[in-house]
Amino acid sequence: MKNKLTIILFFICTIFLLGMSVKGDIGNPIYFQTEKDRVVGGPFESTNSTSRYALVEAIVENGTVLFNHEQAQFSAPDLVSFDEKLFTIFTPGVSLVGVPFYILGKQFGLPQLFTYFSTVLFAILNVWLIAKVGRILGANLCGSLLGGILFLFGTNALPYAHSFTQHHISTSLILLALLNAVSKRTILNNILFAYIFSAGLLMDIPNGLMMLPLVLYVLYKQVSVSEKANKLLVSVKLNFIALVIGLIPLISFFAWYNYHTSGSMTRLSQSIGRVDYTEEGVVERAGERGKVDIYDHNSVYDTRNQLNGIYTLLISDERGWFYYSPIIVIGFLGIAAGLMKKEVETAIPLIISIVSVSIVSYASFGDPWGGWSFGPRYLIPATALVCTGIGVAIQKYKKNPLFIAIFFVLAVYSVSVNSLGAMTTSAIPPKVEAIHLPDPIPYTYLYNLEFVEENRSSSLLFNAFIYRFTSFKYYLAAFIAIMTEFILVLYAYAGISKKREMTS
Amino acid sequence: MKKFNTVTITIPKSALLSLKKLLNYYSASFVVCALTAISVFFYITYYQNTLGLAYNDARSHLDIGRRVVEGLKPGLAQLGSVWLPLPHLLMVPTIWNDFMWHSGLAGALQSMISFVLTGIIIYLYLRKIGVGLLGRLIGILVFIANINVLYLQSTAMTELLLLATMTAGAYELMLWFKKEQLLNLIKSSFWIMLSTLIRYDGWFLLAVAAFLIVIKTIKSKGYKSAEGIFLFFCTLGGLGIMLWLLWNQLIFKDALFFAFGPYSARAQQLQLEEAGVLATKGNLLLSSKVYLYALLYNSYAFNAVLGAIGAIAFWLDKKMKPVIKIASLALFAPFVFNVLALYLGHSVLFIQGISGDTWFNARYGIMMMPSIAIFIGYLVHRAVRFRLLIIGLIMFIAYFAFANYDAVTIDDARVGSSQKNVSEVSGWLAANAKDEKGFVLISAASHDAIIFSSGLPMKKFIHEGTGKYWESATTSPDRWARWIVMRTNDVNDQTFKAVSKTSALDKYVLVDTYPFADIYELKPEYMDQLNTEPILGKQR
Repeated sequence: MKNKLTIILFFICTIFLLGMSVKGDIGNPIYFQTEKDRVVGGPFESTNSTSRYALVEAIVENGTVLFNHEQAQFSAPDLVSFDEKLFTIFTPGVSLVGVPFYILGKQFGLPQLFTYFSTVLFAILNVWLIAKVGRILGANLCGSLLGGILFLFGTNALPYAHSFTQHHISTSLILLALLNAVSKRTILNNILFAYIFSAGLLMDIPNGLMMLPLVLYVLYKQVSVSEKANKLLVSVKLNFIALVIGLIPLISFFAWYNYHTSGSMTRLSQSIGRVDYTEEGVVERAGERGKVDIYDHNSVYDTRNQLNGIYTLLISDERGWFYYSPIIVIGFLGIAAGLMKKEVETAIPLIISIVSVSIVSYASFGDPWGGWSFGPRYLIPATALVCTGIGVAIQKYKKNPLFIAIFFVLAVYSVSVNSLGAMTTSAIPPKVEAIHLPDPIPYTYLYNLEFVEENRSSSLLFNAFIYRFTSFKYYLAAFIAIMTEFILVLYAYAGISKKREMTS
Repeated sequence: MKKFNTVTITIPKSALLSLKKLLNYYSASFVVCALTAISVFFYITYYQNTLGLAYNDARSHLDIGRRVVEGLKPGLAQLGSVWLPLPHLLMVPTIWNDFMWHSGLAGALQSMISFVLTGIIIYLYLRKIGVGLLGRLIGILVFIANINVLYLQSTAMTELLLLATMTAGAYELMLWFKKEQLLNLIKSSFWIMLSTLIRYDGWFLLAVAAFLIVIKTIKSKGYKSAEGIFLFFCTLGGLGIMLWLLWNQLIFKDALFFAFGPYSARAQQLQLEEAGVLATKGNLLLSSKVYLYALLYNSYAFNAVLGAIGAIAFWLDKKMKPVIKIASLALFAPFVFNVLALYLGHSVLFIQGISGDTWFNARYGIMMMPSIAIFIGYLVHRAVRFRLLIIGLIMFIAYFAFANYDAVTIDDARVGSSQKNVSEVSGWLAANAKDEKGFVLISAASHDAIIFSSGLPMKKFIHEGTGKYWESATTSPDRWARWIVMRTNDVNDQTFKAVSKTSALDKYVLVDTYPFADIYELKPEYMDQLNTEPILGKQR
């Protein structure tokens, strides 16, 4: 009962705090609901949101997955033109999830807010899922919840909770798949696992790669080896057929979608390449098609990029994981502590595998920056997995003064940086672009600080009400202070909680 | 119910044991066969797409070997002092054949054999430090699933030969540290001696190995024994260096001619320094950065990371004997040597993005590849819980490396500063000089690639190594050279340097100007007095 009350209180606080950073502006009554303004700091500032939003609109308003001219312009340059058809370059999963929210929002004249709310829901779900995995790893309730809260508010998961992108949904699916994979392999679990996997593909193709360690593990679990006399018995459970069954619905839908867009059930939009779209119509982008020299490094992942990719994703001031969200150090500490525990000998290697695959694959990716973005957005699922270790680290080192000091310094810094990103803009250019702009802008969160200096916020709550009472600087400071209080309380509770039993 | 939804296969344990025995027994043979097949396949690939001869240095190596057996003044003296002699000596048995010369096979053959040998040594090294079959095979896989390695083993470059001899030296050294059998020490010194005759990296390895041997022996047997073992090791290990010094003294009248002569690396580096492009000299941080980048690009960054984790795990392994850990330090010698060489200004290495927009000598980064393979093999063995992850990552890296043809060594050879597309000038010679009488005066130091690519026999060329022919032709070009190939107004071109002191150029007509050289042809009215036969003899 006490635990339930704690959880309810916790989620009320989480929703309230998340609400403080929802993007928007005052309008008639709220801006961006009918206005397709791609202003910096607004919900439509990045095309990876607008392109998906355009697909939601096309489905609801036009009953098709293809774009009209207005939607094509709104989606460009994350747009594909094929056989005189215009459609999004992204897989359709995120948009499909947004469809019911859009329809509901339309009833209230708030389609954008409601559609984006789907991401917020998954962000909140992720807090709970991280806590759940944290519990499996051996953390107590408050410690594991703290892991979840630090993921959401102490990493770039926060700015992306207010976007219409794949990151939070992908994270949820990967966490769900992990929880499923470490469960008993029943027919139902196998069907669910395959369903989650195919949903992951529908959200974003690289999810398939990130879930690969889980797939291999689940397949391995279908086989058992035992000894009898002088013989070795290799048994294969026919349950694995359920894996195929689980794949069928969403993969079939995906094939249908591809057929209607690219003309082939197996051809992905990404493989066709982007086009721009202006008043005059489609404009081919240079270099998107027609590469023929085998030494031109044509593949999506390229080992030549790894060096730059590792630097960019992990330590650079442009997108570095440790630069934008150093709180993950505590998560890694917890995972390292978990390595010593025999009880979690399955979950920890799986977590490390997914994190490793994420880093290796995105470091090999041509654009590790993720375009104009905030922090290493591609690593958001990996961040969630690392944050599952935060509770374990607190459990182990909670009374160590050095740990406490480091923990709070990292937590406050991480929360501050990412709150700043969430309440201003997530569109920071890579260095190479920023310094070549006609009016160069900073390529780190210094750019966001300029917004604070100019008293410009993207927070709907601030822009609608709070601006009357105080400046954005104080609003942000208050938010960080409340967050710090929240973390302090959770840490205190985590500290006094008894070590939980090894059950989940 | 359980039986209903489960399919069970029964395998007799004896069959598995037999299979395991079979695998262990024949694994080394299998590895040799597989590596040989891979080696041949990739040689043919790079021969067919002509990349095998893209390196300017590869063509020079082949020409040096060829000049020993054919030309106006053949003989061992043609080995010269620019490069250490072993790679060229190894070409001698086959380079006389025109196909072996022009296909590059005479030089590639030793690289290919070295490729197989290095793979085997990686396998054996891992076996001797207690790594299981899977770890050993993964170690080999890391080494061979690298396009830089596969490309260099298909060329007449010296890297693979050096890798094989240095790794073999480090392997035998480790065995000596483990067992203290004198035969291992002799073998180690032999392999290291060979490496000292390939590149100066071997000299550093000799010093490192000698140091490690002394440290170990002082600790276990005292100073006197250490002195004896040191001398014993260095007698054979240092023989190559002694012979090289002697060679330079006999041929060039200066034992250090290779180090300070006009064709030495130092002389080239001084030119680069004057041009302001030797930024690594005197800058340890930049030298380390440049070499680290070269290493990471050559080995693929995550393989290097895995190798580093493997090395740390190896050093933290309490079950591993300390002597083996100390012996393994020899595996790091190439890294230290290359950083030092850059810092001291004896080497030059350009990495695109750090040293402007070009590559040069990027292949130096391949030198740590066997070490990385060994440490990854060890990591696979040690990190049982993460074995599948590590193998999966290696597969991922290998797949996308091949999907993109990712090889800095090929980029360097195709578009970097290590390439030299002389097809225009060599094509002119092939078309116009092949069936005509007369010699071509050319500096081999500057234009070996042209000599090679022209397809003309070596005896058609008068170059610095042709003794009296060169002296006569540079004094009275119109009497000896029907054609002159040189970079006009470049005093670093020995032909121009000599010919410009005469007035003979008036008797020539500038036929054409190309990016790397100009071609002059003797005017018809002076043809009567031209020597077109090798009347000075072969001057043996």
